[in-house]
Amino acid sequence: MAIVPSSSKDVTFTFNGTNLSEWVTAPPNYKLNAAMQTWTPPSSAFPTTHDTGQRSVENVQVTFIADGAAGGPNLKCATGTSSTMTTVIATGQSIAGTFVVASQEVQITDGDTLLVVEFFGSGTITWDLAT
Amino acid sequence: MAIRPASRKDAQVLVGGYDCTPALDAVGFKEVAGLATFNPLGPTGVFPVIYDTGARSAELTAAGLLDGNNTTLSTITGTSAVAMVKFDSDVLNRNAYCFRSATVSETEVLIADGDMTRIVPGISVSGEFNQGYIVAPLIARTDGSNTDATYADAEAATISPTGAHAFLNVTAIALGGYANCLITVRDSADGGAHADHTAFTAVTAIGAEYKYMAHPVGRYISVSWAWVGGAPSGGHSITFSVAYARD
Repeated sequence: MAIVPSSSKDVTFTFNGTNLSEWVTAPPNYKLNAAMQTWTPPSSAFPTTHDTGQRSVENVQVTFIADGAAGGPNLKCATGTSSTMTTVIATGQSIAGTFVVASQEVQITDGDTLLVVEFFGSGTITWDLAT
Repeated sequence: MAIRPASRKDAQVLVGGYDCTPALDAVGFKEVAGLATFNPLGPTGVFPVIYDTGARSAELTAAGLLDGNNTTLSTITGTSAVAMVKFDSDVLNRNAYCFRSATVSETEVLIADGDMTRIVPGISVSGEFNQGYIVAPLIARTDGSNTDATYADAEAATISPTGAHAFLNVTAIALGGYANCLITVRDSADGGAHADHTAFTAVTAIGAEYKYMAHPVGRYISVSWAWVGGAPSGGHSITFSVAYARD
């Protein structure tokens, strides 16, 4: 079965109702965790692992070109904003959920000024990576 | 004795009936023995003594491209799967590292500017791990038959003193009108006539399964596959791999 890979050119990033892709210099990475319970019964050589059903997503960091315009990342990603984040990985593949802006950091560089935003996931994260 | 090194081209990773190999560029396996260090008193205690507690744990790691056609390693479902990792080519009698219950417990999607989207799954292994042998390489097979003439030799006692373990991965099946395909592990004590020993659950779709083979189990192992029932119309084919390990 042929694989169906994708690349950064297939990615779009939307938060707080706005497609912010054109400002993104460092795309988000996502990590989803399942809380596992592991124990080794006295009679066993190997541990037993059980999926508790609990899930968590690690904090997401996105770097933008800083832009204070009305539809730009500075305002759309104001600290404390809670809204839906949708990252389309490729056609038919996306990661989405409610995220809260935990921090904004302005980085003045030799190039354009950058805005580094950290998001905390809140509640259900939909993980759909099948085409 | 000449060495026989292996490289990335020799690796194959089968998980839950999916051949994950084409989308991976890294796979790793580690087995750890639970050791206890003891420093005795007296003259014998100049150096510590190491005892093997008998406890074992196994780790399976992988990394590669996000594949929209196969989300086995990129999605947490909570479902465990039989995994089979071959480092030394998918060839009869070569090693297969087999996991009875591998669960994707974390998955990381890495998006980098100008690069392919990658995944790094975290895989939790539950229960025993077995280092076994390839009995049937992963190839497509059509009409029912067996591998008695090309059996796997576990190079152990003629009869296994305890039981054994069999692992199946089916990566493709076209029933062609049949109701199912029955794959059976066969054995022989002396390399002569083989007989059915343990059958896997009748196969109707891609998937993977582990079966325990009760004692006695002969030294020489083969498999058979037979198409069952239904109204055959032609075009039947099944792609599967079987690995085997002694207790």
